[in-house]
Amino acid sequence: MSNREKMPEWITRYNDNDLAGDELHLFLEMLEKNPSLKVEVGLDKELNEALADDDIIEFRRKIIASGNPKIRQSQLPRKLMLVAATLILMLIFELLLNHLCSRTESKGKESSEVSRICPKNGSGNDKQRNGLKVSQSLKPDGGRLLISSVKVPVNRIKLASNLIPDPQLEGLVGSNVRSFYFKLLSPSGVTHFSMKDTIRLSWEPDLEKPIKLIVTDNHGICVFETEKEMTNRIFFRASQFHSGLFYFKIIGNDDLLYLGKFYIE
Amino acid sequence: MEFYSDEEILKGLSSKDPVCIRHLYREYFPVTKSIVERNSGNYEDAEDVFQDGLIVLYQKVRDGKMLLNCSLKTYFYSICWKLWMQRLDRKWRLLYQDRFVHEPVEDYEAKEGDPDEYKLERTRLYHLHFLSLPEDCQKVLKLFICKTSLKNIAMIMGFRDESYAKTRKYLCKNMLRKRILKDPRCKFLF
Repeated sequence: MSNREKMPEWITRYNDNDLAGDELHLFLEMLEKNPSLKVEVGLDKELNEALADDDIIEFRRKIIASGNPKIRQSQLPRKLMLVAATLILMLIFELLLNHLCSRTESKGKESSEVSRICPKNGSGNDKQRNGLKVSQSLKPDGGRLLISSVKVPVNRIKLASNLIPDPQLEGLVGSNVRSFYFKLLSPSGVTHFSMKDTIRLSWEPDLEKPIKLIVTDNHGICVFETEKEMTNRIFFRASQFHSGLFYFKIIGNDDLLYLGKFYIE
Repeated sequence: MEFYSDEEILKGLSSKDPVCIRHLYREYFPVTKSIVERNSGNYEDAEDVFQDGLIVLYQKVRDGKMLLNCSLKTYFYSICWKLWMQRLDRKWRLLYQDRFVHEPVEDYEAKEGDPDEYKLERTRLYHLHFLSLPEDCQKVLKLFICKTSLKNIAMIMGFRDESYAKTRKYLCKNMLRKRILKDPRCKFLF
């Protein structure tokens, strides 16, 4: 066994006055040279003194035993308060969400009326964009209709209500109305587009009459409108919409030829 | 809530009555907590000061050095106040000893007869680690410190012989030493 390995034993024996002869001589030499050994010897001595008072150790044991439940008790209300605070926050968040949803729904109801006039007024307010006419939606403001950009309000973008289907339109999706000859080629079925995609609508046969395409969101608000003549396809970019569910109406001679829907993610 | 007079508390304290200790925790700990937390300390510091204060109080009662000329709560408050001021003073000295000349915390200077908070803190650390040792280790160390002979220790503990009792003693002492030296609080104490 090396001197280093013997050290804990030597420290104890030194403090117990049990070290003698060569061992004591060597230990004292090391003690002079090594300050950390001095600390350890001091620690051992203090330990012996501290542990000698059995009465105080017993009292300490009782303090710890009595103190811990107290500490637990004092921490329990803190935990309860944290849980309560979390619940309150969740409740506030839910109320806020409900409030926002109801606001969006009421806006949607107001705007559904607007969207009905959107195609009619759209021609007067249209802007040319990428070869397509882009409509401008109308907003009621104190009984006065104001013209605003086609962009959908930001507060609606973040809501899951953008994906709630319109019960009135849902029943008509995919059905040909007053146009048994009309067949939509693309998109086939309900398609999910990403923001990068170009949405291509194509159909057959080529229609000689002017075709109007109206895209509304799930709240019935007109977000896109275009009119083309002698065509069997229309392209437009998905990036101009927010994410959510959209319905598109293909109208010819004021007759609804086809109603479909798509999602933008 | 039960009410205890100062005499009853002191009597309970001298007999290490757990009910009395719990009562002290409930009634006196908030006082210590307010002293410590109002003077740059935290909850853990308050717990340490409270424990040390109780030890001082117990020692005074046990040794018959208790001269109560005010309420026990006030007396305990003054013990905790002194302990915390001394501790703050030492901590400041440790933190800023090389940066600027030390100024005593709030004009507090330790007086003769004041509890030795440095020793109390070290003793608390030793006790806590000792009480965290396995039961048999605590027992072996206690027997050795009480100068029980190796032969008797081997017999009491059921060890096969004296040399094994000696080995166990070294192992237990070493475990205790290592635990204390590993404790992060230890670096401020040596």
